[in-house]
Amino acid sequence: MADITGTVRCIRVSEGAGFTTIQDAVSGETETFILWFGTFIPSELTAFTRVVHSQWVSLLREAHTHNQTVTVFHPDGSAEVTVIQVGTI
Amino acid sequence: MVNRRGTSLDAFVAGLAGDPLLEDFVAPFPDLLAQAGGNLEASFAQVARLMGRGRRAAFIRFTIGPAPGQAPPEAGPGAVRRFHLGVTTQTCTVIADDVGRADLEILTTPEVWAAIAAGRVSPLAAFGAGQLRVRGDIGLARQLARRLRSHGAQDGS
Repeated sequence: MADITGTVRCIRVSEGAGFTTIQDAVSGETETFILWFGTFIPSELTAFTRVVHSQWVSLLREAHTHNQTVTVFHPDGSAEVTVIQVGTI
Repeated sequence: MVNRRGTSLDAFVAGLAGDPLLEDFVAPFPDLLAQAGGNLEASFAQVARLMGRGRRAAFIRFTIGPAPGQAPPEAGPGAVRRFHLGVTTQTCTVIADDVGRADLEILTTPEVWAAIAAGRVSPLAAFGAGQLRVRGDIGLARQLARRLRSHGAQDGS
C-alpha cells in the first residue's frame, strides 16, 4: 500500500468515472487517482460503496475549498483509491 | 476484463470516447512495438520519434517495473527500468540521464507497457484496470497520446 499527502488540485465526477488529482506536499508533483471507474473499480459496486464514494467526494471538496491537506492511500502500482483521510488520527 | 454485469472493460472504455478529458486515451495505439522490431527498449525511441517537437520543453519518464508484491532485482530482466524522453520545441529524443522531476511520468509493468505499445490495450483501459499510474501533466499526456496515435498510424499504413 502506498500513500500521498498533499493538496487537492482537481475533483472530477461523472456517471462513468470519478478522479482526483493530488499535489504532493513535499515534492510538488501531481498524480491523478481513480475514485471509481465504471463497475470495474471497485470490483464490487454496492449501495454501500456508492455512499463511500460520496463521502470521499465530500472530504475532497472540503479539503479543496479550505486548502487542507489530504492523504490518499492506494495499492502499489495502481491509481485506485482505497482510503481518503483528512487530518491526522 | 469483464465485470459482474457482463460488460467488458474495453466496451466501457469505448463508451468514454465523448469525454473531452479522456477521449485521447480511449483507443489503443497503433502497433508501436512491431514498428520497434518487438523490442521494448526500442519502443521508447519510437515513442520519442512519433512525439516529435513539443509546445514547450518537457521531460517525460517511463518507469517500468515489476508488479506490486514482486521484489525487484537490482539488475536483469525484472529490475525497475526508467526511460527518459527530452522534449524541446524542435525535437524529442531518448536521453540517458535521469532528469530529476519529470513533467510527466508513466509507471507500469513491462507486460502492461508491451500490451499498450502493441495496441492490444488502450492507455485508459490499463489505467482503469489499476495497472498504470500517471504523475504530472495530463495535458502533456494527451498531446503524447494524440501524436502516437496519429503519427503511428501513418507509419503503420
